[in-house]
Amino acid sequence: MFELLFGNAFWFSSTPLLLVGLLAAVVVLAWDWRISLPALFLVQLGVGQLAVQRSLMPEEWSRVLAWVVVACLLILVLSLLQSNRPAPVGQLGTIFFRLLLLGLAAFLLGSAEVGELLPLVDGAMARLLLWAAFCAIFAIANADGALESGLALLLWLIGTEAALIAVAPAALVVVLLGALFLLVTLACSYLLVAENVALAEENYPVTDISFPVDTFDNLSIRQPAETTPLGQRFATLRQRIASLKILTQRILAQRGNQP
Amino acid sequence: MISLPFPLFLPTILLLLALLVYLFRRMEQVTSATAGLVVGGLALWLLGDSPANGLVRLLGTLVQVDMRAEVMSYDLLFHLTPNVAPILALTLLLTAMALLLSASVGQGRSFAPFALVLASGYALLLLLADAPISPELLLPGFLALLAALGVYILQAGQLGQILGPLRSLLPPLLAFPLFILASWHIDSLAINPQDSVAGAAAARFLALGLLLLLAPVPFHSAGPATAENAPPIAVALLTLLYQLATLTLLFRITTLYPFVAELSGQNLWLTAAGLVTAVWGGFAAVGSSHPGRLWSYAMLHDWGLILLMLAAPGDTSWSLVLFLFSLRVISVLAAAAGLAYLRDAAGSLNPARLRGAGRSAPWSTSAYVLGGLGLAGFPLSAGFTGHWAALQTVAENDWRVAAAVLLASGGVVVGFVRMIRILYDPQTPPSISSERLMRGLIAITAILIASGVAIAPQLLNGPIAWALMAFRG
Repeated sequence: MFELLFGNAFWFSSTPLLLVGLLAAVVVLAWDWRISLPALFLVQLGVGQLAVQRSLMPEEWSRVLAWVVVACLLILVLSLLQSNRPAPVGQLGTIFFRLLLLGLAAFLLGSAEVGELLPLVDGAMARLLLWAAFCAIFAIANADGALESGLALLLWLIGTEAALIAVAPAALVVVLLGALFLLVTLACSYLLVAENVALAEENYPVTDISFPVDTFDNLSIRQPAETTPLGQRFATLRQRIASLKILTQRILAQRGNQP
Repeated sequence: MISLPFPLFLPTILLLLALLVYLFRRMEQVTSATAGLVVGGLALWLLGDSPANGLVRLLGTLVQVDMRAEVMSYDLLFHLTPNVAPILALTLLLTAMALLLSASVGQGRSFAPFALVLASGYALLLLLADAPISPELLLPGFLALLAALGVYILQAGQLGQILGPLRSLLPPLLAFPLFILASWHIDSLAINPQDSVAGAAAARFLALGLLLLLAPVPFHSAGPATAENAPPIAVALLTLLYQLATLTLLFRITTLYPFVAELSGQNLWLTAAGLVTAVWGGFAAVGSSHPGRLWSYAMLHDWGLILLMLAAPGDTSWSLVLFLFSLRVISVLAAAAGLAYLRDAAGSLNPARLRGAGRSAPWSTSAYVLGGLGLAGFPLSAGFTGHWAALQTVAENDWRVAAAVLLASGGVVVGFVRMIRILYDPQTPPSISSERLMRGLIAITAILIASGVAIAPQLLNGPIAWALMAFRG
């Protein structure tokens, strides 16, 4: 039974690709560490096993990377327990909106020709790796918190590991990938502890366009910092228009009096 | 006789020093100053002597110094050549200056040890001469590792916003797989040089990877977010080391794989990226009243001009790039020296707290303003000559691009004029204490160096001619 479910034939069918792809999407859709962390571990196991079955990666290296991912997830959990985070940071829209965006991306990826993009990787596997990388970029683009960004970066590394080891099967690449997994996780877990959600929710310029509020207060040092109510501004504008009208009438009257 | 492989000895010494500095981190000022002097000494030794194999008497023992070192288990070869020495010396010099500056204004207890670890990492990265994959294509992976280490000194143990350090991880981490994928196509090209598909694919991957690494607009968001909260000297050090490494990488890839520039339309995308970056930097500076963000936008504007110069045709392009980068180093460090004191005295870079600070700390404020204006090429600031030379070169090809960059420089200047009005606000009593003598002296030195280079830019001729050795293949 086990052989039937998880034998060689199973790994070469489309079922594991779909399952791993769905798990990668769950990391983005759930936006909750209790679901994302186990899903990420399963994605790593799935990608590793698929890569081994397709001779993209030796089995030993797949095992090493799986243990590295376990260590990374444990580091994140430890930091998570030390930090006091009430809610995920930087969640984009509702789950249905994210589902719609991912569905659109899946449709585009399904219809695109990706065979040549990743050398030595067959079309179906290339689609899976690109899908994982897309999910990671989608999460990176939306995440503002250290945990969500850390998970997204780990998903990005998982998505790229099989393709990189396939094209450059050197121990140095595995060491580099392992070191990246660990150092990125350590950096994110450090930031997770340092992150203060109360401060993060204060007015803070997320992009260049949304300048800080005090920008407008400081435009002139002569003006008081208090903001003028909108109605009062309109009142000033009306007064100015009225005085302009009086001025114009006076000038016209003066011209009319001239011979 | 003892044999000493210098390419491994140097990073090891830096790492041991980092360990020592970490153990004595409570004595932050002493350890930073000592580490700065040691690293500065190493940099000066590299500046003075052309590296070559030879005998050296060390503690009464004759030592055979070898400029090559192999790590057999991973097939790695590190080699200190005369081409690498200038960039390595500049890396160490930048670290030394940052450490010495941090001795007077604390940048967090983790700054000195991590700065040394980073210097060690950058040294290894520059010295890597051979690997199972082309070393140039492995460098972005190592850059990603160093970016992950840089997070600690950017956050510096502060509770609060983490966007800047988090975003600083992204460019190298997203870019490094593209370089390794390109390596496969380059290997295929070595087997079959007529394979145009492999050449085009490699060029595409490398161009996209380089674009991400150079972090022009819109990949620049780490810069302003980091400069808003992080210690200024840490921001200056990390930015300059990273950009120096990416410029070196760009040069090496352009030299080793000339087809990349041709097939990817490198001049076109570099011009577009440079123009957008310079213009956006100026535009964003107009609306920014936060001293850290304003400084970062000025840096972004200056970086855009450097990218434009990378696309300029002709042999003088790299010498002008190095000239601009040298002026950038002076301006960025001068501004960082001033800003670091203001941040230390006010507790943060919040503009509300810094109102009128210029009257209590005139020298530090002046160093910040002069350094910032230097990044816009304002007259009588360090960047003036470089900016005008660059603008003339750009105008020779297309005057409209030069005009757009000039207008953007105006934006940065407007931003700093507003900042001067905030910092020297006569109506608000300053909330910070008066500048100490030592701090004043450091700021005055920064101002003198920036002004000196503005008045006599020929002072940089010698160092630039020497640094050009690294960019001549």
